[in-house]
Amino acid sequence: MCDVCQNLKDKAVLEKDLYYKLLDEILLTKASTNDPDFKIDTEMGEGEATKDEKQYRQDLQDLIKQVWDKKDKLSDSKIKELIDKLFINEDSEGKQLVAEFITDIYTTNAESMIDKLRELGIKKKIPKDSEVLDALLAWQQFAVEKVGMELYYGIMNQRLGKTYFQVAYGSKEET
Amino acid sequence: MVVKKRRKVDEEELIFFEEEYEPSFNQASNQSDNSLLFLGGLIGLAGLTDVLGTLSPTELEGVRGTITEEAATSFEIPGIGEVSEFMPNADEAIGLIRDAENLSPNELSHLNQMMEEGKQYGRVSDPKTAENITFNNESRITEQIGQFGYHESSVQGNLDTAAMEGILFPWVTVGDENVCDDCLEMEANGPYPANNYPEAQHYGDRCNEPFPDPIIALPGDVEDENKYTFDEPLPTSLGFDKLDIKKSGLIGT
Repeated sequence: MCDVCQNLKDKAVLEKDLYYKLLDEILLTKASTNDPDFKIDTEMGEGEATKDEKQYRQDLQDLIKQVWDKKDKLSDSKIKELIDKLFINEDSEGKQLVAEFITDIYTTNAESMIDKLRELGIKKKIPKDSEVLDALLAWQQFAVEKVGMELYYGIMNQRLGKTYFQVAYGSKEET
Repeated sequence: MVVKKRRKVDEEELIFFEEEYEPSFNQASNQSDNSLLFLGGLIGLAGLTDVLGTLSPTELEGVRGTITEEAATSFEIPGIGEVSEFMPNADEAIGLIRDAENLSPNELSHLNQMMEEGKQYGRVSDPKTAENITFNNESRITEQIGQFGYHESSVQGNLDTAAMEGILFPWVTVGDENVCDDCLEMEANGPYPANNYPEAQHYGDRCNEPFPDPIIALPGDVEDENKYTFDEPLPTSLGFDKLDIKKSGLIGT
């Protein structure tokens, strides 16, 4: 494993002390139930993220935050409606965000390259149909949809589990 | 004879079945299987430590001291070193840990989520914990989606436009101490033609942001777009015959 790569800073190597650590510190202490803060990680990856990238990531985070903020006030069906509207539907906010942002960055960079090539005496145009762009859009939009689906399943899993324990063992949530 | 024939048919079907899947699917499936195995080990540890958790620190130290003196075993984990086992009946869990020398952040968070959900089913953990972990996981995944989407749209906007132009592009790292060896190698082996430019080496790779300027490798203007690739003979009318790109050392292997 690379010792210096910042990207790998979160990678874990299980060493001989891990077993003791699992016993002494991790599993004897209940996992953190801290609420997510939905702030982007400014130290993620190599180098410094551009302003555009940070904005894109924050916009995506804000979609999840909308679910977080409203989940406890909404019924099962309303939660599904909200997630559909934000992540799942073809015209969902998330998919529109992806389409606009990715296309905009792609086009801006393509225009920049056209200028550079023109200075070298090479005439080019932005490709009318880009298989690469289409594939990237499809993947990014699917990834957003997947986030929505997993949020929905996570919420429903929590609700069903809570209901089960209440029905089976009373109102307490943990032993 | 009948049994033999039937087995052969089954084997053929099995091979065909496996080949139908994408390699990435198989990899994901294997990872999922490994996750389940590892989850089992962790839940086993959780159960053991749940018992220990009922002991006071003094009692715990006493138990540990007794066990380590009387039943301690040690063994070598490749790439990690010597590991001492002091818990009885933990061989299986240790074996699973031995197999999981390296875990990516995604795998760790995935396992963590599975473990919490598993504990939830056993009512060891608060269901709320599993939900919070779900949101935290999705938040982290979204970060990767955003970073990767920005990086690729930026790079591909350049490459897609310049594809097949017979010009080269260097690989430029961010140039700080955090750059990994893989990216440095890409930089050393460049420049590369637009239609054969290497992919990002890992998540969080911000090499080539902003995208580097093109390097002229071929003399003359190229106005007929998307016509030439390095795999085809280049027309002598533009002077391409004077430069053998593959032998020039400009393109990395």
